[in-house]
Amino acid sequence: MTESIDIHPIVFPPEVLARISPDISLQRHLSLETRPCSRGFEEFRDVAINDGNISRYSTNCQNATTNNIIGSSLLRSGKTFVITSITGGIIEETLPANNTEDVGEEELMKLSEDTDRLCENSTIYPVVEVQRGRVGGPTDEEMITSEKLYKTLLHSGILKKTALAVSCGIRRTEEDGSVTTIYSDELLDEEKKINEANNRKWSYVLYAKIQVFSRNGPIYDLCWNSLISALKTVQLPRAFLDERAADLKIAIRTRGRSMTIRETYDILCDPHKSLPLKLNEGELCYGSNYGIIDIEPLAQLAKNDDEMDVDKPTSVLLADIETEAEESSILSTLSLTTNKNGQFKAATIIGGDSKITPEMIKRCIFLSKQRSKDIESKV
Amino acid sequence: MSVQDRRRILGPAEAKPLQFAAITPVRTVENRDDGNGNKSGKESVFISTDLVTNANGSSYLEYMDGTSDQVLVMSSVFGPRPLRGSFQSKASVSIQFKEVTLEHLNTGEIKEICTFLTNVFNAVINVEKYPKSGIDIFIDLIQHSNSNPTEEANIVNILPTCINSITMALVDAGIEIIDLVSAGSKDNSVVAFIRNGHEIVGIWSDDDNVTDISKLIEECKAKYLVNKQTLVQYLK
Amino acid sequence: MHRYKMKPFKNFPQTVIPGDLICPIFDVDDDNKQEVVIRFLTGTGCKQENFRVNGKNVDIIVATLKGSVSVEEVPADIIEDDDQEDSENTTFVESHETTGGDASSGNSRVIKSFKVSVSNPSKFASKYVDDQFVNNLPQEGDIVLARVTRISLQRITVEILAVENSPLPIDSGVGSNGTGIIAAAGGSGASTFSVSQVSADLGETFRGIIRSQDVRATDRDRVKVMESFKPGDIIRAQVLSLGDGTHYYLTTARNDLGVVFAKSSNGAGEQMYAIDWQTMISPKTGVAEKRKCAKPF
Repeated sequence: MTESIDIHPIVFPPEVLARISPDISLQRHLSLETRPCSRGFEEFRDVAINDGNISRYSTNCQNATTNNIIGSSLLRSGKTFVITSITGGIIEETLPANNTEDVGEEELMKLSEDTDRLCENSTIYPVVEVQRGRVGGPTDEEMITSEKLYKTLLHSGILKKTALAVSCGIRRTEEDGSVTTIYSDELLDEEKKINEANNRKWSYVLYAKIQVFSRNGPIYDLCWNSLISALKTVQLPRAFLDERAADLKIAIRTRGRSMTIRETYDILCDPHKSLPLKLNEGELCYGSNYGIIDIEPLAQLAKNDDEMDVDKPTSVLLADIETEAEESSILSTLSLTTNKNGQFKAATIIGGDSKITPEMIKRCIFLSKQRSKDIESKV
Repeated sequence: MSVQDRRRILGPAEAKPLQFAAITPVRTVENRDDGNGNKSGKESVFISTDLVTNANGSSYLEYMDGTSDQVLVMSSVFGPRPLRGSFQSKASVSIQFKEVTLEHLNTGEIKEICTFLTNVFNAVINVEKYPKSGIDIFIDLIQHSNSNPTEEANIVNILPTCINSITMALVDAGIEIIDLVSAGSKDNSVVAFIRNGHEIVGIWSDDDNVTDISKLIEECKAKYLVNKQTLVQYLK
Repeated sequence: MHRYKMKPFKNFPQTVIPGDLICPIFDVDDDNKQEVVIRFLTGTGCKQENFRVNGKNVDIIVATLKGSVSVEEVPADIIEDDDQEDSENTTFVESHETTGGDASSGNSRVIKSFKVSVSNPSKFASKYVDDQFVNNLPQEGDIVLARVTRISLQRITVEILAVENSPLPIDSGVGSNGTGIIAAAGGSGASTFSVSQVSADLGETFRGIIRSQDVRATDRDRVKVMESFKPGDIIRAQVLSLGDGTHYYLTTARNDLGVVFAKSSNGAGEQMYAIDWQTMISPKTGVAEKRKCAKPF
C-alpha cells in the first residue's frame, strides 16, 4: 500500500463524475477546452422565439372566445423553454389629492422627488414558475427572479404609464335594440362631451405568468427575454362602459341622512377591437449571463511535456452558463441586460472566488451587445 | 390585503381582470357553423418525447380534432424519488394537473381529475418494483381550445389526451407499466382500457343520461383502439 | 438472445413495448433427444401476469418497459446457492424462489432456468453506473456512491447519488460484485439530471445510514467516526438493507469501500488523494487527514 501521491485513485464514467464531483468534472472539461454542455467558452445557446399561438390575438388562435391572454411568447434556448402569457386587468386610477396646505404632505413630496420620475414608468406583475417536479410555494429562485423582472422593467422605462391608459368608450343601445360602441378617439367633437363629463380614469394592469421548463441554468435572462418578446405581442383590448351605466348615481337615505353613491360599474372589453401596446422601442434590451472560473492546475488532465511551457490563462470566461456542473462550481457571475448599442438597463456582477478583471468585464460587454443584437433579430 | 401572498408579486388588489363582452351573435353563429362543418374532420395526434430534460421522462401530445378543437398536453415524470416517513414496500403514485396558460378549471375539478388519473395509473404502474419511493407525474395543459365551452365537455375532451400523454411519459421514463393505457370518450364519458380493451382501468362520466353502459363502453373501446394504435405506432 | 438456438426462443420478440407478451413461464424444448423443460424467470422490465386463454389461466411474462429482450441462462447451482456474500450473481437470487427438488430429482427431464429481461439500449447499454434510479433503486447488496451529509459518534448519514451496477446481466462481472468500476469507455452521455434532482435541500435524494460498527471490518468496536468520514466526502458503500422509511442501511466494511473523494479542512481545502487505507493527502499543500479510504485500485 505505498502508492505515490500523483495517482488518481479510481476512474469514474463522465456522468458519475459530474454527479459526485461537479467541480472536478468541470475542470476536466475546461482543460480539454470545452464545456460540459460541449459548447465553446464564448458560445451561446441558440435561441428561438415565437408567440406560441397562445394569445387570443395570435394569428392561428383557435379559442378567441374563451381566451383572455393578450400577449404571449415561447422562447427556446437550447433544451430550456420558457412560456410567457400576459393577461390584463383594469384599475381605476386614484387621482392625486392636491392638498398643498398640509405640511407633512409637502415634505413627503420632496422626499419622493426622485421616485417621481419612476412614476411615469409602469411595469408588469410577473409570477415566475420553474417546473421542477415539486408542488407547494414558490422557491427562492422564483421569488427573486419575479422581483428582479418587476424592478428592472419598472426602471428601464420600456413601459410608460401613458401606454396603459384606457381610452374608454361607450356602448349605446339604440331604440331598435342594435348595439354600437363608440370610442373617444373616433368620436365627433360634440359627442366628446360625454366623456369629459365622466372624469374618472382607468388604466390597464398587466400580469405575466412565466413558466420555465427543462431548467438547466440560470433563468433570469431567459425570463427577461421572454417577457420582452411577449410584451411586444401585447394587444390591449378596447374597453367601454355601457351607456346606461355611464353616469349612474343612486340616492340613498341611511339613518336620516341622504347621500348619493356612484355605482362602481365594470368596464367591459371589446372582443374584436384592440390596440397594440406602445413600448418605448428605444429602450428595449435583452439579457445574457457569464461566469468566470479559475483553472485549477491540479485538476487538469495530463498534457504532453512539450505543452507544459505554454502560458495558459489562469481563469476563463464562459458565456451563457448551463448544466449543473457550471452552475454549482462557478461563483463569479455577471448578468447584463443591454441593447445592441450598449445601453445598459441592468447589470449584476457577483464576485465569487474568481477574480473579475476589467478586461473580462469589457469582453462581457462586447459579447452581451452581440447577443442582444442576435436576439433582437429573432424577436 | 391582510392575507396577501407575500411570495408572489400579485399587483394591485383593486384591479379587476379584463372582462370581455359577450361576443355578438353574428360571430357565434359563424363559429358554430365552423364546428359542425368540421365534425367529420380528420383527427390527428402529434407525439414527441423527452422534451423536458430535468424530468426522468416526458411527453408532449397535440391532439387536433378537425380544425376547431385542439388539446396540447405535456406530461413529465419525476422519480422514483425517496419518500419520507414510515417504510413503504410499494411506490406511491401522485399526479398533479396544471393549466399553463389559461386558467379555466377550478380547484375542485382539478382535484377530481388528479384523483381519477391517479387511480388509473395505480392500476398499471408496477408499484412493487419501487419500494420506499414516490413517482410524481405532472401534467401541464398547455392549451385547450374548444368550440363548445361547457365545463363538463371540457374535462371529457382533455382526459383521453392526458391519459395518452402520461402513458408516453412513463414509457419514456422507463417506469415499469403492465400495459399501455389509453382511453376513448363518448358524449360526456371517458373509459380507460388496457389489454386491447379486455380490462377497464377507469370510467369517468359526467352524463346523467347513460342508459346502456355496455354500449357506452363499446363505443369508447373503439376509440381506445384507435388511440392505442397511435401510441404503438409511435413507439415501434 | 441469439446465443440460444433452442426452439422456444424462435418466437421471442426482439423489441417490445409495455404490454407486449414475451413468453409463457414454462416451455418445452424437444429438439434434442432429451426433453428439456425451460422455466423463465422475470428480470428487469417484465412482469408475470395471469391471462385467460381459451378458458385456461396461463401465466405469461409481459414486458413493462420499452426496449430489447435479453435472455440469460441461470445456472442451476446459482439458484440453490444460499451463500450470497461473494456470489457473482447476487442480484439474481432475489428474483426467484427455489425450484425445489425437480431439477435434481434425476428423471429424464432437465429443467433449465432462464432469466428474461427488457432493457432500453439507448439509455442503459454500456453504462456502468445508472444515475437515474429508475428500475435501479438501491437494493440489498448494491454498491452505491453517496455523499456524507452528517456525522455523529454513532452513525454517518449520507445521501445516495448513484447506484453502481448495471441493469444488464451482461456486465455483471464489473458492476454488481464490486470488483471496481474501471470503465474504459463509460456512458453514452445521455444522462439528464438537474439541479432539482440532486440538491439535498429539496429532499430529492435517497438517504442512507452507516452505523459506526459498519465502517470497517476489523476492530469494529473502536471505530472513530470523526477519523473515518467528514461531511462532504464522496464514498462508496454497499447496501445492507432497505432500512426504515427514510434511510437505507449501508456498510463500508470492505477494502474497496470507503471514501473516494474528499477535500481537506472539512471540504474547504483542496482535493485529497489516498495514500493508504486510512490517510488522505493533498498533493498541493501536503495536508494529511484521516479517512477510511476505498482501495484505489
